[in-house]
Amino acid sequence: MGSEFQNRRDFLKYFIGGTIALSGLDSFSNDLVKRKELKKLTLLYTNDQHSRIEPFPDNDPKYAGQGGFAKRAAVIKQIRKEEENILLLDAGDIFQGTPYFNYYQGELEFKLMSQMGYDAATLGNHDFDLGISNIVRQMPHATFQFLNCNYNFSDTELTGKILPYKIFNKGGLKIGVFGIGIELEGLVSKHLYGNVKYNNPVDCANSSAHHLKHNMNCDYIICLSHLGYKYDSSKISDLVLASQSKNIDLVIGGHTHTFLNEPVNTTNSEGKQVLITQVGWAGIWLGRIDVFFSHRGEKLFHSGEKQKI
Amino acid sequence: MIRLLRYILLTVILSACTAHFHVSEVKSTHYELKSSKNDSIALLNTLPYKLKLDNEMKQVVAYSDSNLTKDGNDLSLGNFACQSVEDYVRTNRNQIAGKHIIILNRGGLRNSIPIGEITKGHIFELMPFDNEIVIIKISGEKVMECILSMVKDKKLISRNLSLTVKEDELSDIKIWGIPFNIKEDYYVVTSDYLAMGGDNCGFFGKPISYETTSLKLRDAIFNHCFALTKINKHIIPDKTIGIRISK
Repeated sequence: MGSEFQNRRDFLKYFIGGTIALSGLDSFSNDLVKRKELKKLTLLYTNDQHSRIEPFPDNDPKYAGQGGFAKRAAVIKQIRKEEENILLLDAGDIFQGTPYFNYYQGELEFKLMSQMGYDAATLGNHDFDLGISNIVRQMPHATFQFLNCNYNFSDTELTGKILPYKIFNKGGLKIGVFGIGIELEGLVSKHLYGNVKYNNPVDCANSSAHHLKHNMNCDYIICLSHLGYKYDSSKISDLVLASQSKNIDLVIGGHTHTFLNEPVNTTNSEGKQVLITQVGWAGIWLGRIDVFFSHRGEKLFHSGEKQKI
Repeated sequence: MIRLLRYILLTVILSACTAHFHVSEVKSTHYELKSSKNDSIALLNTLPYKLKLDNEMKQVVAYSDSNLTKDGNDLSLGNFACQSVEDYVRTNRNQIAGKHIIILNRGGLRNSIPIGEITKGHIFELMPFDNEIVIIKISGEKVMECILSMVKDKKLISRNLSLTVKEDELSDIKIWGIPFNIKEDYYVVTSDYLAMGGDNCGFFGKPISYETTSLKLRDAIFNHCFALTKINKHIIPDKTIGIRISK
């Protein structure tokens, strides 16, 4: 593995000595995309939407006026005009949190996500809040694929309806996406998750990633995880998963409602770079990562920013 | 300078050509959706659902004099929820009053209570789950396990329990001001979710008795709000501290 630069500034310092202005570089990579010397993949993502169809009310102490599916839909529509290769993903807990879920059981969440063109989502613990049968009942409203590779659904109504992974072909790039779920025992009532069997997330993630990388020849591998970003205890988290992983490039996480200003740069069990990202909850933020690919290259640097729009 | 960069990058890019693609740059942007415009089709699709819901949810049920949250050391939201359960016990199960401990989980409180008019919608967002209140009787030893978990993980909340933590030693454990006796049995008033072991409450398993009330926690909160409004009272923050940490 080559040099890993925490941010663009480090990269520039390394090459040039830290005296250059920061502008110009973004358009330079984009220029190369236009000249077909680089390929660009734009990842858009949410996690823990929790049925927040409408923005928080104006008198909310913390998030007044923030979020809302219709705002997100407009931003996504705009980005679709500008970018060619987009994947729109969600890391689970779409359900539960506003009366929309109590009254309509998730129907509107799935319909609006389908309208926005979501490609895939993984299941979070709260997606089981009205039982497995409710997930099955709402699925016809979703045009996107549900992914999970560490729950065994074979003894449930969900059998065959959830895939372990899916490969997306985007402008000549092969992107492998798989899902990982949290242990449901102790978190969700047994009568709601029924016979869903939980398997070790690290083993399942590594075996999916290995398959996607070496058998399916994917160029980029994304783990949609609902494990949670970090815990004080030894509980399995995205940080633990990433450190014990191989072949995963990016973990899009959820569950802990962690607002990360930018993806966290960490290393896997082979010392290679893995990014972990999460955008809080309730659709307050929309995450975006642009990945530029070349025929030969290393992860030269990662740069991130936060924008209020 | 830009030209120099171009040169370096192009050298890297052109120096080899294999079938696979490799990442050469990653750039992230996290958008905070605040005042950007709405997509009209999404709004239109939401409308029929919204109209039906708004009619229900706009009903004002109480008035709050301050923000109740569960942020940091703020116990006001947890105490508000506990007080609602306490109302239920006092009006419906007075025979166990004083021998009971109310235990709820912080994680189950999903939104803050703002200042001003509190609507049905606010209460739904605070307590979206359809969990019901249950009353279980457990041994003092199991209560002790629960207290230890409460101190260690800080996930559970209670209002009528007080204790002092000093250098990891618990002392002065009192329930309703009466010293806790590990040899006695106690009634725990909680949600069916926790009673069935949710949020890692395994110590509630196999209780001496288990009684359902068929009252949803959310409805207990509604009842508490209605009761306040009936006597023209506002929600005021209850800052009772159950667990004191001395250093």
